[in-house]
Amino acid sequence: MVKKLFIVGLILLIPGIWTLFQALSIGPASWALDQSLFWGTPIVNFVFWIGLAHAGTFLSAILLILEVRFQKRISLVAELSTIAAILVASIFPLIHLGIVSRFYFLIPFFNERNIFANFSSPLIWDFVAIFVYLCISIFYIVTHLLSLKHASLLKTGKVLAWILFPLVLWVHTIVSLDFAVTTNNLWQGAYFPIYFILGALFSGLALVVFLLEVQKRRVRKIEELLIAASWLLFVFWIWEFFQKGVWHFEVVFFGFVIVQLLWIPVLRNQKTIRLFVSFAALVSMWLERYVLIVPSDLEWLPVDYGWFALGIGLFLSVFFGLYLLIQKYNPIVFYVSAEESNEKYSKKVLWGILAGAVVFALLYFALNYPLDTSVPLMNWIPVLFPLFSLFAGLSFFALGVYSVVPKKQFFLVSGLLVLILGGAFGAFYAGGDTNLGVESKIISVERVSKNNRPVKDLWASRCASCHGLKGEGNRKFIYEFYPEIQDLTLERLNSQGEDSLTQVVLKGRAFMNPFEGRVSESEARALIRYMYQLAEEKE
Amino acid sequence: MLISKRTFIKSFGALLGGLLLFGCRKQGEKSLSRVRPVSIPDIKKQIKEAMKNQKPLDSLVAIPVPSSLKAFPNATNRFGMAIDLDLCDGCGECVLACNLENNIPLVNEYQASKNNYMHWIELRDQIPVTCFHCGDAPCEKVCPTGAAVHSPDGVSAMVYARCAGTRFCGVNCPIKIRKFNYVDALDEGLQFISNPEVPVREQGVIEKCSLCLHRIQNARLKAKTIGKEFLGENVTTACAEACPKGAILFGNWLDPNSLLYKKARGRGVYTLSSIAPFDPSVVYFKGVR
Amino acid sequence: MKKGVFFLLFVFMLALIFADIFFSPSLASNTKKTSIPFLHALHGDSIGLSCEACHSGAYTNREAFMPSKSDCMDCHRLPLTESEGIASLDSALKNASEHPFQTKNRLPAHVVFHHGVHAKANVSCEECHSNELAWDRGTPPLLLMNECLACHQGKRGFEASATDCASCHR
Repeated sequence: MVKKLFIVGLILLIPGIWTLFQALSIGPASWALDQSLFWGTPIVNFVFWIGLAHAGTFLSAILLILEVRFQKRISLVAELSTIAAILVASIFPLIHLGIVSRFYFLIPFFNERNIFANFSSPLIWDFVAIFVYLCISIFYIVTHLLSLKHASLLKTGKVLAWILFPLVLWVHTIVSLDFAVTTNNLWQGAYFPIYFILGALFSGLALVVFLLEVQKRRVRKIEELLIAASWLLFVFWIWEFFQKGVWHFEVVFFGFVIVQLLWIPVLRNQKTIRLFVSFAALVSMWLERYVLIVPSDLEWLPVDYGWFALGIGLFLSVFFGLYLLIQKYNPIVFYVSAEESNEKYSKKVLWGILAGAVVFALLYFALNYPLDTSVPLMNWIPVLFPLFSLFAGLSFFALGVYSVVPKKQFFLVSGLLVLILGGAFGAFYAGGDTNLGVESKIISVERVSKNNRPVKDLWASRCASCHGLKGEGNRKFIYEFYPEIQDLTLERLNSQGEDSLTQVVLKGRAFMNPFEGRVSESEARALIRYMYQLAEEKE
Repeated sequence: MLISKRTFIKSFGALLGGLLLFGCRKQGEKSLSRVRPVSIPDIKKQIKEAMKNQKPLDSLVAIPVPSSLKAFPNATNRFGMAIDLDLCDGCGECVLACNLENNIPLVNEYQASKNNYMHWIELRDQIPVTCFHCGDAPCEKVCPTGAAVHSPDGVSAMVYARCAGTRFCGVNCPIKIRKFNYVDALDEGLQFISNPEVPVREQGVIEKCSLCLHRIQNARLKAKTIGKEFLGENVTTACAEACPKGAILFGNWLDPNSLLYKKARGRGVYTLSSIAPFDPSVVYFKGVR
Repeated sequence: MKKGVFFLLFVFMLALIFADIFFSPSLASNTKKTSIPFLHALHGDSIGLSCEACHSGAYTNREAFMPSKSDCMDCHRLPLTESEGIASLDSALKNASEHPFQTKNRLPAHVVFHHGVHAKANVSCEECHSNELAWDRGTPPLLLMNECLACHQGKRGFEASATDCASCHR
């Protein structure tokens, strides 16, 4: 079954990769959008998949903290589904971008040009939170796998679970804020974070029911949780109806009515019914996000359908690929868990790392805050906890792994990772080349302008190189190569007359060059008058 | 079998990944020579089509005359416009002038069939609607990269080179006046470059009315070179210049000598109801106060 | 077998990198070669000329402008030195077109830089155009935005100036 699903995933990836290719080469025009609807199916899929990821964390980390018994039986499946779902989810916002290669503009990190991401935007909070969430989830599952051999890592796993618990609520709250902070009336409401978290939990439970079924296992508690979640969501749907007049029958039908089938023991004990209910719940949750994000009816393009192939194909192949990989090296891992261990971190280490994390998070603000004082301090808070988690999670993980893995291997791998990450950050810090866009224009030669240029400037640029700024003559040049120029006196100017001097400027005389075409006639006259002025000043 | 199944899958995956990487790498510099000529009648035709299917308009509500911005209380300039609805008859000349001034691309047939034109000024119920340059702009708040920013002069500006195309600004604009470049207009021969002063926008960025920012910049730089303080003299927007009825006024809301400021005296000042909470700089004049 | 796959992958990646280098547009070679050799050092302070003498807009205009042939001929009508190269210079000037120096503006279209405003603020030309040898060769160095910002933020001894995007970008 597992292998079959892996193959199905790979097969689905073929249209999936085609979709990806289409979307990247054509851009956002390849899926259904218009000039008033800017967010389409990729965002729907993003919210859907990130919701599935959260449920995995809930079922592994949160139940571990709460010391729920059935947690042990499903934890690894849930953790794997988290990793696979985050990977799928993080693809969609990237594709969604108009210019994908500029995704790094969203990293709130020092930048050579001193431009900083806008902390008023929930997308920045999103980026940080999801990045940290992915990191900690990977730490968590690696710790879990290592703890099967080294029981001392169980304490690290527990600490990471404590970090993940608030983080997962934090992440989905931020995802809901992407909508709740906008001016769109349908997306506003203080209940949005809870509504979103519940939706995530609901769809995630449904996914875990399916994944357990694949292993030919069943956890009754989860089915009960599914029913409970459907009732809670139903309350929200009624609330939305009274608040905003929003009612979507298909969402309620799939997400509430069908789930109630699980009340009946005869039906509940049938595998097909359980699978049907879990699919119905997933469909309803997808539809719920769709009707929320895409209120108007748009004609779907092939790429819109292709997201399903991409999402499901990638999820199945990553999930079952990892599953097979783990099973190959450690076949019993999915059925047993490590021995209980009551080991705990010494208080010194615990508080040391947590204090370090606080300092790290605050230092980040201290370094970055003055760059943009127009953003209120409140807007920085959403990334506070993710930053704290990143530091704390990384420290605990490194500490735990360091204690069980050969030193040489540890330093080799961590050194390599630091190099790669450092290189990536260096590249983001430097930014891309300046895009010259349309062929740059040729710097032109100055032409006679329609308006009269300021005469002082004109004298400085056109006459001063020989005649000097004050008409005294440029000694360094003239006296070496050209015959000495006449002294500038009013008497001499008067003897020539304004008209004939203007002609001299335009037509040239002896060593004087013609300036016709470079100086207009009225400008030439103005220059002569300026000479009178200079002569007066001299006397 | 020459190659094991595992090896085949591995190399196939690597090849796919590599091809993807290669396909998505930065495209070469676009050259002007590839541009198919777009003529002014083409532009006029699309404007006419857009005027045939006008979007509905929100109701108008009265607001006070714009005063200094909350974000820049000490600024001496707040540029803005007023559209006199008593004079405007919805002829669409401003749209054409704007298109030519700002090198606004045409759209292809598919987008045209969906009524997705790039025009920065739209006629909705015969009333010109453009970006209102809100003082408290919702679009700027949600732009993650800071591409949509307010200048101290009161212009809600777009920095195209900074735009990553998340389109959050478009989502958060109450009147959906921001336009996304769905296609590469240069590549598809939809670009008419009539004004070298305005950069051509690339595919994947949002654009909208800039209040003819280039004109403001040029005038300010000129004024500063001769050492004068710039209060918006000798500048006007392309639409204001082109309006045959003189219904569009450009000016500085904070300068008592500005024509806009003087004309606002005694006039009823209105804006769209959905824009009213955001302190717009572009307003409608209608009747007397 | 495994090694072979990795080797193929490596070669493939290398090919990609090379392809990227070959096909991406180069930022250099923006300047058309002229037949007239020019040395900024000979035309500057040593003979008492300001930049404005040839780049007539440098202190007042947005663009600094390049000199036309007649601008050169203002002085070069007479043989100016006795050095050996002067004969070839004279013939090169004689055969040159009316606009012998054509430099492409390397400023992207979405940036506006006004030479006049900066001159007015007492920023000397050398602040940005210091490497005159590179300019003589026709390969001017690329100025990046962070260098603009360093000055505008008041880090280079000048008064801090506008740093809002819309004052330089359009």
